[in-house]
Amino acid sequence: MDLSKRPTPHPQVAARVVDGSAIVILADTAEVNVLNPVGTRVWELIDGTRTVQDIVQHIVAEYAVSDAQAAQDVQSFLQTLLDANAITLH
Amino acid sequence: MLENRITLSIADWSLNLSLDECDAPARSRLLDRYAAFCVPYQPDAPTVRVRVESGADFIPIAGAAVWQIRTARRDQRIEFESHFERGWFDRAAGQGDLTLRPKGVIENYLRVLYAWFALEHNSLLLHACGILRDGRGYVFFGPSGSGKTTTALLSAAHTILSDDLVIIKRIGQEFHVCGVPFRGDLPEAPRTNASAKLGGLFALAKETRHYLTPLALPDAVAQLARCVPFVMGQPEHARRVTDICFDLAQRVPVRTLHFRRDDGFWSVIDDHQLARGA
Repeated sequence: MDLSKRPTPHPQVAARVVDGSAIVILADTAEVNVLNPVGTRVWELIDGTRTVQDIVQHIVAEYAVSDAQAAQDVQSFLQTLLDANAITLH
Repeated sequence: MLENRITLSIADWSLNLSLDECDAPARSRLLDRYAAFCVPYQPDAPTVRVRVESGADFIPIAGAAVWQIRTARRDQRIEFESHFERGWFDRAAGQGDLTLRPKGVIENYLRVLYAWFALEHNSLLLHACGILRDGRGYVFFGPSGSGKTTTALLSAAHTILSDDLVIIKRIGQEFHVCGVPFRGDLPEAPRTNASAKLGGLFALAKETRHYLTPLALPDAVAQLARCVPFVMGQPEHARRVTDICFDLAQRVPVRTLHFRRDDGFWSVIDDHQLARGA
């Protein structure tokens, strides 16, 4: 994944954070997902202005995790969101 | 002589059905099916013109793996199409139109319409079994196979609203559960036109014994939203559903009911209600 790309929520997604967990609904398929705390934090950082690298740096700063591990986890999670049409990359 | 129109009232939301273009057997079937929900004609209620017409399937039934219902909402207009039915409803005009093939039934169109009516009133049509017991409404929800019909069968001593769909209606600061004439796997069960203040919401989980576990708020909201049919196709509507589920889960306790195939789960619910002081 290109770390300079900027992820943004897909226009067909509805999301709301409830008690620290993001509920992400893919309206196309009516699929409802609840994200874990780190996933929720990544979701909150996906705003169309931050790059993948920016998000990785936020996660490194906020959680006890190495750069390499954060990069791997964030990219893997973003790829899952991409495959589900929950985000787009620009 | 059969009326050429009937008026339904479901959750106190009325709808006139104009049946001029339906033959007597079709009108008779409608009256039989929805008798408990028929009320005197309401001139101010929206009206749907229903007709039966021969012709090709709207969606070919041959080769269809599952029963298909296509629905969409564009502004005030709701579109509906299934194998033997096609129709629309214009909310602003208060008018709709439904064409049935001879094998068609009106029920799925009504389900879609009332799902939208509910959403417009900060309420929900929910895939759930609804039971009235001692003046309170209990709702057991979950996907197909989770045990909604089983729960209804095990609650025959009480008033069964539905084994498949109920309306959760917001009235002031409260939520009430309302019966609907739509039925799941219990076609012969009575269709009860009744409602009560909601006493509890239970996500169903088949188990070998009866017990309740708490459901975290995000999981409660998500599990409820997964049981809301027809109205989630656009993000703004999905967001509204989420907001209503959030409001509902904050006002009414949501638990997972682990249950086996006997009516002992009511004792567990009674103990829980007693502990809450409800």
